[in-house]
Formats: sequence, structure tokens, C-alpha cells
Amino acid sequence: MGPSTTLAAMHREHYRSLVKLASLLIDDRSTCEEIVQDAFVAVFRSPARLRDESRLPAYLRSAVLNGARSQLRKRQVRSRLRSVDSPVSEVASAEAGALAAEDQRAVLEALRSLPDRQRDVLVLRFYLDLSESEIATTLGIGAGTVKTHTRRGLEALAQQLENRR
Amino acid sequence: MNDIESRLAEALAARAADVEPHDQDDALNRISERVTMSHRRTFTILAVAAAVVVAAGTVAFLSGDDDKKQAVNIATDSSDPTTTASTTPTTVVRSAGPTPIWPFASDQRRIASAADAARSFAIDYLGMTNAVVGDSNGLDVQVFPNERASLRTIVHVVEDDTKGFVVVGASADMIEVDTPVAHDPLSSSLAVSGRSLAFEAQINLELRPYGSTSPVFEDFTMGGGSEVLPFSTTITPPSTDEPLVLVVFEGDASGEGAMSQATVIPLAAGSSESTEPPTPTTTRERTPEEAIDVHIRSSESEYAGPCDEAIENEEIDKYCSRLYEDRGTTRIYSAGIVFSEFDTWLLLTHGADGWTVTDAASAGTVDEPQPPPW
Repeated sequence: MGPSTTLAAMHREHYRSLVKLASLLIDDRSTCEEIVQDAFVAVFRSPARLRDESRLPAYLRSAVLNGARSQLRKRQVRSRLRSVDSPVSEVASAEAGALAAEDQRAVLEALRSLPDRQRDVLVLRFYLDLSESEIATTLGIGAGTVKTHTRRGLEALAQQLENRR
Repeated sequence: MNDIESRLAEALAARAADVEPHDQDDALNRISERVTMSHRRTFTILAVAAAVVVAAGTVAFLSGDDDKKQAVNIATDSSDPTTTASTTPTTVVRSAGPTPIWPFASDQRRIASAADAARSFAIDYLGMTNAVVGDSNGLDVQVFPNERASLRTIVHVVEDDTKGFVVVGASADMIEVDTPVAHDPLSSSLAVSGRSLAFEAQINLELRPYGSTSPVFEDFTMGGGSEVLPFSTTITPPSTDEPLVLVVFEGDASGEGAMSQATVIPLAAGSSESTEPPTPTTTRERTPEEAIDVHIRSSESEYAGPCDEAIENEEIDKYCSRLYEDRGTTRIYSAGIVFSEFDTWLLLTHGADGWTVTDAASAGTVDEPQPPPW
């Protein structure tokens, strides 16, 4: 399979899910799409990364997380970080589900305030349902570290949500 | 799954379910265009480089001694000499000028196309037994060691009136050789340097006579194993009055063939020893900061300089470094994103040209920091 064929296949298989992944960290869909497109370009113009196609999904996920992290950092530094309370057109707002939606917004807001690694690990674990070893490969850290970040991230998340009550 | 885990999973699923990309076909087109643009830039540079190599070789040939002259036609057909970023064949280079590397002079066959020349060169000269030829840009032909691999070697071909299409060199994406350049004269001490990425960091060097695949000299050196890193070595070629071919390659770890990627550079016969005393070099040595800058930029990031001097807000996505240990001719630096925890150890070594980053390693995480491995 040549690089162009691989790109089309990988795009078809992963683009949509990667945009969704980015959307868990960034509230603006256009930015999410830009991050994912940047990730594809970065991975597919690097012959070193194309050497092992089986690792491409992990490279792409990693690039998306890095892109999202970079965006978040810029926003934090510029004090322009928008919370999920700001307009997010895609978030459900149906009256019937208002209570659940409110809880989900609170969870997302708390998640986004976590340290980078904890946030990334929780998203990979509880959204993509990756195993510890898959998360370790994606983030380039040890499996033990994944476990630590997961535990601490969940504790911090629970604490933040408790404090909001 | 406990309560907080359930709430988190539900929140993530709900958010993701509400987001759909705008136009995926348009996104694929944009990505493809940007990737292609990047490759075109590389191809254009290589096409120009190949033309320059041939032109330089021709000039060297014309200015050479009479007894070294060979019967060749020297004519660069520049009826359509475009070097713009285009996928259509660009510069048509006719005549080999210097002796082609492939096919051998003793080979009487006439190769009918650039692709055929590249394929037979990859299989018979480089030992890529399952070589696959990819797209070509003019007379630069992509070769992969097998149909699964993305590791690319660009084979530079020119058209010769008598032998058809002949190979004058090759460039692997992951083995960039800065010195020597094509047609540099052989000397008793030959510096070979550049940047590379190869399995277990090892790249091999061979010097071969024209017309043979048997090396008269073999050595190896270390570049990058997980990222592109500089390599530098000095070899002592055997004493000879004949030109040689330098082959810098990564061995094929799969065992399918001899090589998985190779950069091939023709070298001229050694010049007569100068009777002039050596001129003291005035080249400025590379500082540690410059070496780190080169290393960071090779991984497509930006370097801000020492962490203590980084400017808040202006250098937020750049890398900075801090000296960790000074051991005289080697130094260890920590590096990381400005105003973040450092995540990388860098080993710098002082050589003839100054400082070079010779290895890099993960520094682990805040929870599980890793000491420098050197």
C-alpha cells in the first residue's frame, strides 16, 4: 500500500473519530478540525512515521492530543480560555436532557482543567476505551505511569465536581 | 465502573456524539494537498540537485586530464527547463558526463526507461531484492525496499545516448549526507557527515569501485535510532588512483534484502597531494546552543534558547534547554517546552566542528522521572 493510498484509508477510518477526540478537549469544532488536519499532515510528511503503518493510529492520536494541548496552552497563557459554558453549538441543550447535559458540561469543564497528562489519559481511557498499554504507546509513557495518571485524574475530577456542589 | 468513571464516560460520549466534521472529502483534499506540497518541495530540491551534480561532473570532466577523457556526449536538453513545483517531468538531463554508477560499463544492455534503471539499480546494485518502484518526478525515481515499506530512496537517473537510462546517484530520505558531496575527490582521510534515522541508529558505509558491487572499504557509524540525528565519522579509504562510489545505507533488518535505504555518492579519484602547508582553519566552532537549535529544528519544533531566558507569552510553544552536567567534552542538557516540565535529555559531544547533539533520551514524567542514561 503506497503512502497516498494509506492516507486515504487512514483518513476514512480515523478522521471523524479524531475530530471527536479533539472536541473533548477543545470547544471549537473548526479548531478541532484544523488540529486533526495538522496531525495528518505532520504524520504523512514524515517518512520515519510511515515506516510502520500499524503505529499510524497511535501517531495520529498523539499528534491530535499534542495539538489540542498546544491550543489549550496558548489560550491559558493569553487568559482567553473559554469554558464549556461559552457557546458550544454542538452540545445538546434539549430541555428534557437539561439536567444530564448540565452534569456533562460540568464533567467536561472539570476534565479540561486537569493537568495535561491526566486529562489525556482519561480521554483515551474513557472515550476511546484504549488499554493501558495502548495509552502508554500513544503518549510515549510507561504503563505504570498511565495507571498513576488515571487514578490521580479520577481523584482530581471527583474532587472538583464535589467542590462545585 | 464507579460513579465518577460512568459520569466521565457518559459526558465524553455525549459531547463526541454531538460533533461531526464538516466535509470529510474536502478535509482529505486539503490534507493531501499539504502533504503533496511538502513532498514536491523535496522532489524539486532533489531534481535541481541531480542536475547540478551532472553539470558539476561535466565541468570536472571537461577540465580533467586528457588521458581521463571518455567518449561521451555532453548536452543538456533545456528545451523545457522548469524547476517549479510541478509533478510533471521537469529538467530533462541527457548524457551522463562522468561514468554512470549503473549499469556497469561492461554491461552492454540499453535500459529503456528511468523506472527500469532505478529498479535494476535497487535490486542488483543495492541488494533490495524485493524493490518496488514508486512515482517519479522527471528522472528522480522513488524506490521502496518492498511493497509494504514506506522507507524511500530517490534514485537519480540521467539519459545517455548510448546506454539509455543510467543511474548517477541516490538519496535516501532518512540518510542525508552533507559531506562528501558528489565528485569530491578521495583523500586519505574522508569526512562523512549528515543526519540519519535508522534501525538501532546504525548506518553502514561502503566504498565500491565503479563496475563492482564488492566494497573495498566497509565501516559503520551511529546516527539517530528513534529520530533524525546528526552523524559524523572520518574514514580512511584505501589508496587508489581510481574513483570510487560511497554507499551509505541502512541494513535491511527484515532480512529480505541487503539494504532498506541508501544514499549513493560518486567520488572522484584523489587529487595529487599538495605541497602547500595546511592552511589554519578559521571555521567557527558550533556552540552548544547552536547544536541544540539544529537538533530541535530537525524535529520540526522551534528552539527558544536557555530556559532561564525564555520570554513568557512570546515563546510559549518553543523548546528551551538547561545545562544539567558538564563533563568536559560531553555535556548533558535537559530540554522541554517553555514553562513546562522538561521531557528530554540531550547528550552533546564536542568534536572538530564544535558541539553536536549525539543522542537524546526521554526524561520521563513528573511522576516517574528518568535520569539521563549516559
